[in-house]
Amino acid sequence: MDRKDFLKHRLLDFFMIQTGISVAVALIGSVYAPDHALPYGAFLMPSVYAFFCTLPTLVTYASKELSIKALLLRKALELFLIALVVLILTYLGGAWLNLPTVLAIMSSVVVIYVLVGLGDYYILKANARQMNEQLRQLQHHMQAEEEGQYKKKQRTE
Amino acid sequence: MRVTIRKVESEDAEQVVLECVRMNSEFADIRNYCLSKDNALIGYEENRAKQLHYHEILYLEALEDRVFAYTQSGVYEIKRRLYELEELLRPYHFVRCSKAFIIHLLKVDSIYPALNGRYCARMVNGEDVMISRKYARTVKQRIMEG
Repeated sequence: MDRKDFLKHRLLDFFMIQTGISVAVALIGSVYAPDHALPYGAFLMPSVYAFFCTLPTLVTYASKELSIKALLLRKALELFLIALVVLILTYLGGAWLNLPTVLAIMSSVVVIYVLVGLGDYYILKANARQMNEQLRQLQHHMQAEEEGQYKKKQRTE
Repeated sequence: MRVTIRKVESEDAEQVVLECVRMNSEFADIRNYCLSKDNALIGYEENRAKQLHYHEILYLEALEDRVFAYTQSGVYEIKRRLYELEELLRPYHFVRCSKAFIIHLLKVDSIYPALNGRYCARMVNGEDVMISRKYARTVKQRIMEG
């Protein structure tokens, strides 16, 4: 994945995070404040969160190949930064942060993080499937070509 | 050194015959050059030269200053640089997949995703070769072009 692909994946992550946050807000809200009415501005909230949560994912970019250890460290840092961003945004939004709310938010962050990771993996898997299909076609085509050349050679002999 | 050229009737009869008192480095170079014109590389295994046809090679790896070709039957040192081989083998469905590896697309069994945007190519002999993030797009393009 070069820089262009990396940014494309970050854009996809943005939309996946946005969806995850919308679902998480709906679930947490229905548990903790089922009668609470939201203003129209609240519809922008998942996009704002998704934007600021996508920024920490840039820490996983490196121009050189990362070792597994370095990659896992960066992934851990990424998750920590996302959790921090979510807490700061929630606090700035004026929410009352008590322990159950913080735990609910952190759990949502981890669940969304895992789901986005699975989404990324699914995209890579779909790409790999497409490459494998094309590879099979190429290999069959080359095999048929080689057999054709062999038969032609036999006929001329 | 005398050079004699004789005309023959058919392509099948074409050959290069080297006549020498003993095989020295000059003759070895000429021999290797002639063999390499036949869609093949010269691989060395314990200082013994072997003609490796392109279709035998699964992948090539650069280790420090040396380049090795992996086939089903063994590993052979190729006395050329990896970037030269990348150019030479491009028309024969070989593609650079990382800083140190060139894979033969016709010898790839499957490609599967690895960590952090990377892929892995499983070769027909069961070995895995990493496709780095930097080269993943090139590999995909080459596969899609056919």
